[in-house]
Formats: sequence, C-alpha cells, structure tokens
Amino acid sequence: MTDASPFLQLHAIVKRFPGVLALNDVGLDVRRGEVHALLGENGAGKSTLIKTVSGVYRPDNGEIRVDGRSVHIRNPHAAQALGISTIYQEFTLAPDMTVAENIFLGREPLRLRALSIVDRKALIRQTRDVLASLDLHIDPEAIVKDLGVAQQQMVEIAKALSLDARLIIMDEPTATLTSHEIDRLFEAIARLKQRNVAVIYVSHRLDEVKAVCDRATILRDGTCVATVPVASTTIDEMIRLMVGRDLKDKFPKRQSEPREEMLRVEQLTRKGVLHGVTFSVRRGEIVGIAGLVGSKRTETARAIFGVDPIDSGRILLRGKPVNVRRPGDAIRHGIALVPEDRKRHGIFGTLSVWENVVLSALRRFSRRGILDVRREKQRAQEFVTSLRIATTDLEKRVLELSGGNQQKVVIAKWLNTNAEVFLFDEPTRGIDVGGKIEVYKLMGELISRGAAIVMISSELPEILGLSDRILVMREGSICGEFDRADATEEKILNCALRGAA
Amino acid sequence: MFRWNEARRVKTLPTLMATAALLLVGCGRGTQSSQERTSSVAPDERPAAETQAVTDFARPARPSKAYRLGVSIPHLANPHYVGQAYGYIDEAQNLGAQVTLLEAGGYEHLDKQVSQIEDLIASKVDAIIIAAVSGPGTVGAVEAAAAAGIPVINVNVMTDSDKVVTRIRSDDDVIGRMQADFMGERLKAGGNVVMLRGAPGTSWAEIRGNAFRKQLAAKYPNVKVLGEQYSQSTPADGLRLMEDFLQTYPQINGVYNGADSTAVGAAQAVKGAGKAGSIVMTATDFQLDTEKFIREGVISASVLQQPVTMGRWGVRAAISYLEKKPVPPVMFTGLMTATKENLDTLDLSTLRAPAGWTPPAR
Amino acid sequence: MPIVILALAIVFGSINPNFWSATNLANVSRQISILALLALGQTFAILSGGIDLSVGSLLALVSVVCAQQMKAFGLVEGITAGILAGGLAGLVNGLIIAKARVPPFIATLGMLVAARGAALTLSGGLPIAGLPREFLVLGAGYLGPFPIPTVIAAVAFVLAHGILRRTRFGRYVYAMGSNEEAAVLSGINVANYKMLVYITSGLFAGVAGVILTSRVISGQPTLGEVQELYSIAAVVIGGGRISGGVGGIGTTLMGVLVLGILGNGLNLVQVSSYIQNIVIGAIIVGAVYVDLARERRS
Repeated sequence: MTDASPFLQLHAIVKRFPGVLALNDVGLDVRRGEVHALLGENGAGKSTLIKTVSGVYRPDNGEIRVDGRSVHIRNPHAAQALGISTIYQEFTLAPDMTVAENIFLGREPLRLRALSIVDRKALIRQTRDVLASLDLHIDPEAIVKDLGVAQQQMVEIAKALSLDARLIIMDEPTATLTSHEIDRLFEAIARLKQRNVAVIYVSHRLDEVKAVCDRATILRDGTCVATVPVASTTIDEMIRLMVGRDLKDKFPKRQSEPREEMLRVEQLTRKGVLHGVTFSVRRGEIVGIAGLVGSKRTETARAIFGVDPIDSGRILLRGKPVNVRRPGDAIRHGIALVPEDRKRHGIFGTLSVWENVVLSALRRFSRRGILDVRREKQRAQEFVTSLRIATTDLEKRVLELSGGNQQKVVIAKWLNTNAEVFLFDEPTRGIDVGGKIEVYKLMGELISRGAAIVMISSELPEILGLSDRILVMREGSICGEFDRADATEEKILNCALRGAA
Repeated sequence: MFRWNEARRVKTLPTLMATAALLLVGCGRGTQSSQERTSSVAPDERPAAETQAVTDFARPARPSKAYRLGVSIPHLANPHYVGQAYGYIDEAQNLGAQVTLLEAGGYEHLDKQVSQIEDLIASKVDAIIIAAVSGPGTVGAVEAAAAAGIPVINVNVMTDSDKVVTRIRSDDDVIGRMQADFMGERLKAGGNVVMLRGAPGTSWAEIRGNAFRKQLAAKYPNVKVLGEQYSQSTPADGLRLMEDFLQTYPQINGVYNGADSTAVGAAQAVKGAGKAGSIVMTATDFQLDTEKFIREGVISASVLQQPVTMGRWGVRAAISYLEKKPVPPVMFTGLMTATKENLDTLDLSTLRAPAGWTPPAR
Repeated sequence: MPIVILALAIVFGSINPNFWSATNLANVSRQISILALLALGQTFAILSGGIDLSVGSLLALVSVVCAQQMKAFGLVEGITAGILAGGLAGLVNGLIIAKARVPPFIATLGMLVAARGAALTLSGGLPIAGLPREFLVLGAGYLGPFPIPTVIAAVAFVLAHGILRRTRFGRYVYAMGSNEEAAVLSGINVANYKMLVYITSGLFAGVAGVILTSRVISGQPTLGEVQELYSIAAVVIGGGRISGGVGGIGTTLMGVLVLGILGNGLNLVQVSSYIQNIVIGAIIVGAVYVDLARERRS
C-alpha cells in the first residue's frame, strides 16, 4: 500500500542543452511504494528527466530531494548509492559474460577479499535467488548474448532489483516482452510495491499504464502538464494531455481494395527455423503477422529479403518465381525490409540524413559512375518534406534524430527504391504516439499507391487496427489466419500460445 | 571469466597463413648461392687505385674558414660507430670545422639515410661524409650531392656511386683473408665452418665474406663452409642465427663473423650449448662484449679496425679537398688482430672513443 | 586542424628560417609523399570499418618485384609489375577479409608477416641493384618546381577524394564503416566492396613502393618497417575515427601534413629522432582525445 510520504521530490528542475531547453520548471513527486507513470511524446523530456534523476545529467536549476533531504546527484554511482536504479531501453549487459556475472558485476561475492577471488558458488546461489524472485527460469550460467532479447531485459530488471533499490526507473520495460512475461513483470512490480519500493514507469503503452500504475505525470515540450490519478483518467484523456489534441482514430480508416496478388511465399523452410511457411499478400493489402517472441517472424522476413538462406521453398512476385539469394536481389525485385532494430540494422548513424535516404538507390543518381550530389540532396529534401521528418538540416547526422524520425528516414530510403512490397518489422517500436500515427498514415499512403505490406508487430492493437488479414506464427510456422472482421486479441493470443487456429 | 566464443573457422585460416608465412621466412634466408652479389669489388680484380692505396693520411693545416660538414652513418648502436663518431667530431674540432652528425637508426633504414642526405644538401653543407647503409641504394643521394656541388667522402661502408672524392676504409679484403688464415691454422686437420656475414647489401659484408671464402678455398681446402646467413648487425640476430646453425649442423668447428655484434650473440649461443672453447670463432671489431668473450676464450680472435682513424681521415679528406689540396682516391686504415694472449698490450686509442664520451644526441 | 598545421609551420619557421626555403619544402613534400600514399589507402580501409596493417611490408614486396622485373624486362614493365604486386596482395587481403570473413586486423597482420617474408624470399635477403639510371627520375626528379613524388601524391589525393565523395564505391565505404549490418540490409554487396577497398589500399602501396624503390634505386626487402603504423596515425590524427564511418581524404591530408611538418621541423631544430618519436606518440593520442572531447560535448 502506498506510503503517503514522498521518496523523491523534484522541484522547478531546469535543464538546458545547446540550443534546446529540455526541461523547463519541471516538478515531480514519487511516493514510497508507488508506481508512477511518466508519459509524454518523444522529445517531451522524459528521457532527460529520468537521466537527471539517475545522475547522468545535472540540472541547471531546481532542487532534488530524496527522503526529504536535498541532494546533488553527481553521477550514476551517487544515484545508486541513494537507492535509485535505472533500467534503460538499450541494455547495459556485457554480452559475452554470464547472467550471474552481469547481475553482480562489480559486486561479486568474494572468497578472499584481498585477492579478489570470486566465490562462484555464492554468486550462482544469489543469482538464483534474484531470478526466482521474478519467477524467471534462466540459467545463471547462460551467456547473455545467447539469450533472446526478452530474456536479456529480464536479466536487466533482475540486476536492478538485486541492487536493493528504493526507486526503480523503468524505461519502456515491456517493449520486447510477450504478454506472459509482461504479467510476470507486473507481478514483480507488485512485490516491489509491497516492499515500499517506488517505480517510475516510462511507457507508451497506455493500457499497461492503466493496468499497473497509481499516478501519472504527463510532460509536454519540457514542461510538466499534469499529474493525474490513473484509475480515474481515461486513455483518451491521457493522450490529449500528452499531445494537446484529441486523437480519435489512431488508425486511419481506409477502404481496403486489395487487387492482384503481389507476393506469395510457398513452403519456406530452413532447418530448425522455418517450417513450410506459406502465405500471400495482395496489392493494396496489409497483412499483419502476430506471434510471441521466438515465433520466427523476423526470420521469415529476413528469408524473404534474402538475408538468411533457405533450404527449400519458393518466392513468387506477381505470380512469377524469383530467385532471392541476397538483399540486392530482393531490392531489384522491389522488396523492401524495414528492420526491427533501427539502430543496429536500419540507420547509418554517423552519416547525414540525405546520405541515408539515398543509400539504397544510388544507381539512380549516378551518371557514368559519378554521383550527382545535388540531385541526391534534392530528392532527400522531397522525402523529408513529404514524410515530415523533423529536421531543419539535411546534413544532420541521423543518430541525432529521435526514434520516430529515424524510422521515417529508413522508410524514405526504401521509398527511394520504388519498392512495391514492404516488409515492416515492428515499425513503431520505441516511437511516441504522434510518431506512430504518422507511420500509420505513411503505410496507408503506400497502400493506396498500390504497394503490398507485410507488418510484423507485437502490439496487438496495432495489428488489429491496421491489418486486412492477420497471420499468427508460432515456432516457425503459420498456425492461424484471420480476417480483420473476425479477429480478436483473445483469438490471436490463443493461436500464438497454443498453435490452434 | 570470459568465454572464448569464436567459431572454429576463424582460427584455422590465420593459423594456416601464419604457418605459411613462417615457412616462407624460414626458407628465404638460406639459398643465396645463385643470387647476384651486389656492390662488391671482386677480390682478384682490384683496381689500380686500391693496390696503390694510401695507408696513412696526415692532418692538414687548420683552415682559416670554419667549414660545415655533414656526416651520415648507419647507426650508433655499437662502439665501432661511436668510435668513428668520436673521430669525426674530435678531428673537426682540431680543424675548426662544425659537424652535423646524422644516423639512420640501422642498416634497414635506407630511406632515412637518403632523406638525411637530402636534408644535408638542402642546408648547404660544405661537404658530406657518408658511411652508406646500402651500396646501390645510396647512388641517387650521392649523385644529387655531387650535382649540387657538394663533395662526398665515402667512409667505411661503400656506396656504389663513383661520384665520391675518396674511399676510406679498412682493406676488407685483408680482413676476410686474416680471418681465413686464423681459422685455417686452427683447424689444420680440417673442419666445418659457418658464416654470419652481417648486413645485406653492405660493401664490408660482401668483400670480407668473399675474401674469407676465397682464402679458405685457396689455402685450406679441407675447411668447408657449411652455410652462411646475412642479418642485421645485432647480438640478437647473431644469437638467433647461431642457435639455428647449431641445430641444423651437428658438427661445427668454426664460426666466421663479418662484424662483431653478431659474434657477441653467437658467442652466447655457443656458451649456452656448452661448446665454448671447442668452436673457433673469429670476428671483426672490438666492442666491450667481444673483448670479454675473447678473455673467456669463447671468441678466438678478432680483426680490429680503426674506426676513430677512419673518422679523422674522413674529416681530413674533406678539409683537404675544400682547401684545394690533393686527396688520394683510396685510403686503407690499419688493422690489428686481438687474441687472448695480446689483449692487454693493445693500443685502443684508434679504436674506441675515450671512456665516458657520448655522441651528441641526434 | 589547419590552424595547428599553420602554427607548427610558423613556430618551426621562426626557429630555423631554412624551413621555408624552397629546397626544404620540396624535400619535405617529397619525403612524405610515400606516407601520404600509404595513408590514402589506409583511409579507405579504416573508413570501411577495417584496417590495413600490411602496407609497410607491401612496400618491401613491391620494391623487390619492381626491381626484379625491371632488370628482366624493362623500366615500364618493372613499374607496372610493382604496382600490380601491391594490388594483388590487396586482393588476397580482400579475399580473406570478405570471403573467409577473417577480421581485417588479423588478415592484414598475417599479410604483414607474409609479405615481408615473400620479399626476403624473392630477393634472397639481398638488395637488387643494377636498375636503369632513368628510373631515378621518378623519385628524385621535378615537374616544374614540384618534386615528382609530390605531384603523384597530389594527383592521388584528388583521385581518392573524388572516389570517396562522388562514386557509389565511396559512399558504400562510408556506409560499411558506419553500420555494416545495415549496409547488408540496404542491399550493398559488402563482400565485393570490401575486396575493392583492400585492392585500393594495395594499389596505393604499390605506387608508393615503386617511388620508394626509385629513391633508393634498388629493390630493398627491408623497406617500410613501421610505416603502416604511421599511415594509421596520419588517418587518426586528422580526425578519422578508427572504428570507421567518419573521416575522409581531407582529414587524412591534415594528418599527413602534421606528421611531415613535425618530422622535418624537429629535424631542423636539431631535436633527436628519439625525442621526435615521443612527440609524435603524444600527438597521436592528443589529437584523438581532442576530437573525442569535442564529440562528447556536442
């Protein structure tokens, strides 16, 4: 039960960066044992705020109080000492070390203090305890990079919990979790509440916020707009506060008039990964692929795109079989893949916006081997405008853009190749509500211009809202297919979990 | 705590490559019989200038002008060149001249010596004295100096260019023959010899080694050369090559060394193999470790050059030329032999710089 | 960075006015043209996310091949053979890196050792003399007031700049260095372009090797020791990032000039070459630190 006394108080916090006022007079208070949501679009200042609390940034003005005492959080170590722990979206695990080593990194139980010899038995034992408290079945000696993304995140959470924090900040913790794992996370959060540990919960998934949070603070453009009790605030109201406008119809209504068949995959098989995957997509149609983590949806997309080899099966474009052995082949046949992990697979962070946008279609801009830089920039500017990519400068490096804009850059790159079949893998992951809507609108435009879209997504509302047809995959094969009209979340989940249509 | 997760495939290819590389390097050193010799004057076709070479060169009168001399030598890593440096600098002081002393950092830094000569030409020195890092490699630089009107004096290690005013060195031919004679007398009953010739491409390594072989063949036919290797003039190279020789040839009776840095290393190898005293080792020059090993009986004899004299004559030749006095085209500095018996009777003033003298830092 | 170069030049020039003399400037530019060419090739390798440790040894290999072929067949044949030898070694590097997927550090390290060994084997460890006198012109001659090697290096710079900024190949080099996985997923044939990168590096080393051979008018299997490290230093001092994707011909040029002016200037003020090495080491670390500090602040 929530103790009414605040553990953390922020008062009139100001934080400036060159050219940007990131936080402007922000106040926040988090009570002991409270789960406090932090909402806002990307760029609203959530990230800056949590970095200020966790000691990465120091505020230019304002006061922070922990347990009623005024403090200066000089660095993350100081924050940890105060009992503030943070779990970021980008994991901070050492991929080549084991789970146990990661959780207790720097705090390993020692057998001989003087020689720093690690007590391995104690290390494993303590790790098991921590994992058990979250009901996680992960081998403490497993190598982190061999674990799936979802499991890695659970290790991150276990690590933070093991630090005996009194406030845990979770930044988009459920982005890569299945609903089963999300339930377990919520159970763990409930246990934290019982221990009077506070949680700052940063997420775009408002239904989760409704499920687990007590209060929510909404930021917009660096200021604190409101702090509301979650139970008595509707999602629409929360969205309105975040965006400042009413957002009905997140998903653009469109008349879907699917035409002829564009892409057909038949019996795609790769030993141990894909088992006879067969489906088709028509022009003007969005086919959503749902499934739990590990159902090999991304692998399917990669196989179609020629990144991974296949043992048997055919790919047909407009009825004609095509040989796709590498991404270059796929691109030439008009297929595009917008990957799941932007940072690792989608953008060239150190290159400029325009260089990113034209990269996959350079042949179009070269005359006798020489690139026409002026035409490249022109074309890039056209896309920046038409896709409303928020940057004033084409030369800006893409890593400096927000997640949503980065995604648009990736999409622009593919639009440049005149692709007709788009494979989207988690197209709106890590993007704020406003950004999501723009991506959905984009997809709508693509469809109306005659493209065919395959959309892999773990956000069921997204799948249900956008797809004309929904496929459900489980462990490398398609276990169910639904039309938009008869699909429900339960049916999809059922199929994904049990494999029955 | 870290696991080694690399795929097997990644390890085998570099291993193969490394093995291949080692094989190549190993094979590369040995076979030289069919290779063309460079920069050497064949011992029995000596030009008239050499047979009439001068063996003494007195100090000229102190000039009225303070000449600027540029000196370029291969390195300063052993007492031979330090002694030579002392010769240049001390003699220049006596003659009121200023010396810029440059060293290339080793026989493998040919491009550095070429650059240094170019820099000397650019700073318009009055004369250049060069001990060449490589015979053929310095031709361009020497000719550039000559074209710029700067006389070039060639000391100790010869350049292939003929645009030099004079060549001052030990009679390398005699050095080789002296080592052969010593070896031949000691191994009267016959024996097997290996050669550590020294730095490839240098006149001294070529001439001395060839003379050694020729003399053995002529006077001591039952002393056979089993193998020879070139290397940089360092004890580390000598040690390595001698250890390899001891492994390759079970019966070695004698070791020839073109210079003495390799001898120092070879002596350590011989000691380490417990064969000190049972192998006849000859060398050239007289660094401190050479002296020590001669006392211990590991090195049997060393032919001593007079590097300080070489330095002095180099400066004298430059000043004489600049003062428009005649300079003989070939000059041979004197030689001595050091053995355990005569070690303490040697006059070392023409060999080594005085104790405690260090060359100016360059 | 250009300010630093100007400052260095002014400081050295004031201590020893000889610095500004036409002969000295000509000498410096001639002497660093070798490093400049190696640094150009290295720029491609580092930009693409890799590295080429073999370029120093390639100088030796090229020198030996060039000399041998020149003696056997003629001046032009020798020069061509030398440059091709560099390109061929680069091709081998490229195959190992692109097809066998051995990390560039390891692959080119192997080539560093193997090429040196090959040079020693082919030459029997001895220098190869007897090259035609006309060959000296390449390394020692002038084109107007400019030394020929300087002209060649300048042309190479312009060419390399054009390739990096104006061709697909150049753009892909940056892309591969920025994010190789994304490059694959964007349809770039990463394997082929990586091979091209190392062939390019090998060819530049080939040209450098031929010029160096001309300067010493003989094939020398001991050339080029440690030069690969200076070529990396030049790229990095100028602002190129060692992990790839950032940098370019302009920044490399800055790095080459810094190294060249430092070396020559310190010589002219009579600083020992041992101290010079310490200074250069400090500059390498310092330059990268300044760059990263600027990066972190923004």
